[in-house]
Amino acid sequence: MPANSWKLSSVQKKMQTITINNSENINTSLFNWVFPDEEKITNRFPSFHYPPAVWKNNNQSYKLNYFNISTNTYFLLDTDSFPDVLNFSMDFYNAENANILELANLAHLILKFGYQTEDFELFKLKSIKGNQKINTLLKIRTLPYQIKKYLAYKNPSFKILNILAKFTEPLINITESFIVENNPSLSEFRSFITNLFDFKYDIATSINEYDEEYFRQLFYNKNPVYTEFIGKLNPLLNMGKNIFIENSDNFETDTLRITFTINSPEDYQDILEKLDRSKNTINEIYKLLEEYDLR
Amino acid sequence: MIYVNKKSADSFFVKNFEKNGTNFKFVDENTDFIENSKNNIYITPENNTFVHRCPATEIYRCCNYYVVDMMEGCPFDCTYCILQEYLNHRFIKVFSDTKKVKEEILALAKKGKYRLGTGELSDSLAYDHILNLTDFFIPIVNKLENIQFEFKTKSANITKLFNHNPKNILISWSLNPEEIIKTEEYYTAGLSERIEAAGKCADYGYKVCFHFDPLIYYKNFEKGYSDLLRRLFDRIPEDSVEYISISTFRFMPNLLETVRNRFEHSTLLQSSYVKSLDGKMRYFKTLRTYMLRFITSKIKSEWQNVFIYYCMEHESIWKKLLGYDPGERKEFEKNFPFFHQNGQL
Repeated sequence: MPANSWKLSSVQKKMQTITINNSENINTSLFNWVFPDEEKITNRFPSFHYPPAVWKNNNQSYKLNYFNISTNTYFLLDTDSFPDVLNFSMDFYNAENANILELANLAHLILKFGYQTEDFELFKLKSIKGNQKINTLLKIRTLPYQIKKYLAYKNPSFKILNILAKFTEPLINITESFIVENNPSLSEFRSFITNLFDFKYDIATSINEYDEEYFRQLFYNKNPVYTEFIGKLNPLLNMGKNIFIENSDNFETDTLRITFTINSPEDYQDILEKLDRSKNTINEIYKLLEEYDLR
Repeated sequence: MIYVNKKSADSFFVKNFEKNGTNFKFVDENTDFIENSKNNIYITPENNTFVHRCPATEIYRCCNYYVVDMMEGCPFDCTYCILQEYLNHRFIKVFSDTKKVKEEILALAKKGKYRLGTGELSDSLAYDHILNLTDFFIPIVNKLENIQFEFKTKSANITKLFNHNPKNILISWSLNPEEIIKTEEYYTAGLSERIEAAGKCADYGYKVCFHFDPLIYYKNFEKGYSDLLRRLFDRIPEDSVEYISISTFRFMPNLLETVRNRFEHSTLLQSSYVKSLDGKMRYFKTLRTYMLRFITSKIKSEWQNVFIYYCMEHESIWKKLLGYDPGERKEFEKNFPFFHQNGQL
């Protein structure tokens, strides 16, 4: 049967209850692809109504679900087909909602049993194909727990993951401490690790964890003129409540758009007075643009 | 290795390979077995529109240059090269239909005066000792008063040029400081070799051009480019220089990801860029203006009469640094020396 045409019922028919007295002989980790661990006791997963399932392959037993439950009684999946077994597991834990770490664990498992990720519908569904993406998945499995947990919750794009996958140990340590200290948004995280990668050869060897001031200064070198310009511009943009001033083309042109919102004729009058008072601010802004060769 | 499609057996290239004793191998249509390497050349009978206007987007000033694309792919491996994104093969594909290429050049000449060149999708001279393309193009262009033809290169592969008449022919070099060549322009000729090659071409009678494109900002920008220009001024006489183009590094947004994958030591990663009006990423305008001003004033301090133009730059920068707006395409190109020759405008 092709791996992607599997249905849960087809394996359920092959189940029988067995007793295993020495549970130490059961491998309980390999099929435990769910991440992070605490997820397993949330309502994402079915309650413990039935004995856990095991699969026997080449004299080795593998536990397939209810990893935190101790018991001697198991359902045995009577099949030689790894795809059947993995599909059972993926269906049981609703792999369609798998986060990026879970997909990484699944990829690892699939390769370990000599299959390709393309053999499984899930990876097509998630548009994960090609060596680079698979190698990236395998690499992120090896990252420290705090980074993996962050990735699992934020599910960043492969553009970000590909950068992380290239990190050496010092950069990984810095990234881990950055996450722990800042709990960054995804865009902050992306910006940080991109800069970290781009400046990796300039980071002092003594730096092995996140240091806000150190990295602020280092990354400033990427575009000092822009940073300095924006620093001078921002205070000038405050022309009053409900008035917004912006340039929409990264200052390729000197066009400024001023917009305001009103809810009454009085609001309009108020805006006009504020605009009148801010003539000098506009002059200041254009002087600044001139100073920075933006006119 | 050179692979030749059997349908190209009677081509200009095969005749040259046989004459020069160059090894090659005939193959069928299927190219799957050709290792996708920059070391391989594939001669193909495929059809193409060879002569066309250099692709340019609106908004930034474009000089109405025409290109003839007979080759796709380049033996050099520049970190900033758009071909990494544009081509789906790394081997060098060479189109064997020289008859059609010639017809298209002649047709263009009938339409009016044009500046035309190879070097858009490959380096014009890097493989000239194998492909002999100067032997093909130069005799055609020598007879055409309406065409000025440019070979653009980062090589020093100029030997074959000395068998030809330099009439209507320009040889141009893309230049960057030695440290940028080392980190960004893999397998190309060094700066000294390029300048010496340009000097020899100028001595022979060719008009030469220089492209400071892409200008790359880095820690030693001022010193690096000043040293480069000093070496250039010392070797090349000003009256041999037809024109100089200057333009800062610009790219489609996906390119940096490729650079991170392939060239993690690249200087390009140490700057940040902004999305500009044509969707490409550029240095922030303040920095661009600084770079262009620096190079322009350095050149003008030594060579007052050379025509300088900015490739794909905003009119406001033209006005600020050169004192005028060249206008778009047809209007722009009238500023080139070629359009002032023989009293024509």
